[in-house]
Amino acid sequence: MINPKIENIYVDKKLESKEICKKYIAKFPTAKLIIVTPKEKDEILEKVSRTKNNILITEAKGDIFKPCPGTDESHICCQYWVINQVWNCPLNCTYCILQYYLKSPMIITYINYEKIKTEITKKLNSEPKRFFRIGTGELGDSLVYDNLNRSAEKFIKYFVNKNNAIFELKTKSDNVDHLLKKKHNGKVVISWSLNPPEIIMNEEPLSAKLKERLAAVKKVQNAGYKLGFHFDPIIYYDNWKKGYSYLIKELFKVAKPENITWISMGSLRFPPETKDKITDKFPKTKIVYSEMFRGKDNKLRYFKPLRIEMYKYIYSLLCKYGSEDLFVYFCMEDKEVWQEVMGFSPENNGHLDFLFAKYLYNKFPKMNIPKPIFDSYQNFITE
Amino acid sequence: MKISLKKIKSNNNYFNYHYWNYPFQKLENSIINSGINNPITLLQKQNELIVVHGFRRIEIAKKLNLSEIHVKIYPEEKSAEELFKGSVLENTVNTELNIYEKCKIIQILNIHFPNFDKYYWQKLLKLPLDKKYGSTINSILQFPKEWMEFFIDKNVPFKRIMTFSKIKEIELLSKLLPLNIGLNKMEQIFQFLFEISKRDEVTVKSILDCINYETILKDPSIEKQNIVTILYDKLYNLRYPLQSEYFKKVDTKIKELKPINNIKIKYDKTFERSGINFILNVNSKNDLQNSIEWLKNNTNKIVNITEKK
Repeated sequence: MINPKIENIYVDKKLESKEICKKYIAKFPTAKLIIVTPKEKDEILEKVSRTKNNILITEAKGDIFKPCPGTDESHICCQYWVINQVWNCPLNCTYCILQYYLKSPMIITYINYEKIKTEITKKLNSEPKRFFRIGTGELGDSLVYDNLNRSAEKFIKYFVNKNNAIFELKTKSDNVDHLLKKKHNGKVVISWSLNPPEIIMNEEPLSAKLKERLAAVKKVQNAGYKLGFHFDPIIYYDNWKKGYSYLIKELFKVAKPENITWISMGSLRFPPETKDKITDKFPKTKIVYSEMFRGKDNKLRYFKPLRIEMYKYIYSLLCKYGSEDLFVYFCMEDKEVWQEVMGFSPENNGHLDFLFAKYLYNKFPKMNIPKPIFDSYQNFITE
Repeated sequence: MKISLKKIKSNNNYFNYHYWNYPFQKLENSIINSGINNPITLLQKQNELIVVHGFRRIEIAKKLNLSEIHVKIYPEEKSAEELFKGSVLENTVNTELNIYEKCKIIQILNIHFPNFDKYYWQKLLKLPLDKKYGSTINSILQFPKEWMEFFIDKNVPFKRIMTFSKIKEIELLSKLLPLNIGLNKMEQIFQFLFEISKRDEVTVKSILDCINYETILKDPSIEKQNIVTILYDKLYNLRYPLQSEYFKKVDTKIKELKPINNIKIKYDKTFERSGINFILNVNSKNDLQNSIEWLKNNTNKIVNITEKK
């Protein structure tokens, strides 16, 4: 994988002596270190250049642990929970909404872990019979700088003894070596967002190549971690069938279905106003010229019959080369798509949340997950 | 003071940003009746007098064969940028500059005052001045006359002109102008052309050939008002081939249903929202009974219409 460059490292004045700052400086010796006061920090967040890679190491003021925002009620969402400890990502994938969605282009790392853990504990204790899926990969890549941040191991240590939660690290990197000897007690999923090699080359050029990602899958599997995979965004191109077929065959040469917690599918989607921003920033990309239309949540998506065709094809490959017993779900799709592809649809978000818990409860009895009850999942609070 | 008009050289156009479709007659009448009251702004630069403000008045004075003209000459030390700013401000008091003039001003600023205050000018001209818009500004200034007049006439804002500026072969499309196409449709045609050319890596010329653009334009059997629809539909089919094909199939099936007069059928043409809407126009018990009877008789045909295969 290509190591993204960092040009400026901004550090909150009260954190300048922390070990993490020294690690960043050692990793990026040519980067400029800038110590900032709280007032300067706010100014920098507004003004920092979008064309440079800048990082800010600071402490969070507001809530960091939140429900995944998902999309509007016309689509089924899985009630995932996110720890927004890292904001932004240096990988610059062409389709990534973060580049256009986050107000500041700066990569922000919050390091007041005790506060974050307190927030999580409060929620986990408030609903002890609920099983929470929690991850750090919503607003950034969980592992791309984790060998410097060392956040993952702090969270892994925290989740080891939690019966009603599983912790997911979602990445497009192969940065896993620092985690291989950590005690995780089977409570941690390391997951990869996957695409065929030609898509990785054109649309995700700074991320780890497919072979590198799969080598990392092998390592973490051998270290006993659970696995997750995200076919998201699925991208349409001339040879998409060949590409996704190759990808899935290669995946299951490495990943054992019995270690897989979940696999998601989601096709390329973005708000219409993002289209011009993508072409401005990446004039060579062709992804925005596919047949895309506004969906019920106003985002542009592939023509629905095409989406369904792609999902059916990929789902059939997952069943064929992986297992029919995999837990495959859609991210931000409606009931019709579920029905057409899977032959059923969750009734609502609570139902999907319940299905996750039920699947994991049955598949991984050693995890001591609280027995899921359908009715309870209709009433848990996700806000 | 007054100077001889001959002292002002005709190629003295450094600061001229006007587009010459200005309604001269009004100004000409005013000059005939009252003379040039507002002096021309000139900047002394070594032995040369640079015109900063008053190009239109000079043009009319020449046309009227005036021998002298009322001017105000500023010494070399005076900031040319300040004088230019004054000129633009004066012209923007009562009217908004057109898109050509705005782009030309940016070009002048870039050439003569590269360190100009971007924030100030951006606000004054209501134009985005980020670096990425530089090529759009240059493209706009290169537009053929007929297109420039289209944009000025329709008062098209900069951001929308950007769509047009993406097509380098814009003159190929000049034949569309006499068809009186609305701005939205014209913009969509350009957008389709741009996106197809990017997606398929082909030239705009080859796309136009593919849809028989020239032939359709010349075909005397096609009425003028239908030309646009034909061209638009052909481009739409190229831009969205899957959806067009799907739509055609569904539309054929619906036509085959031959709904009775008081039933209207509507559906989402992007197929994002599933299902078909049957709108029954019921004025009597008979209407309702007929509608229900028709729906019952066509149940099997109806349920399969939007099946996604």
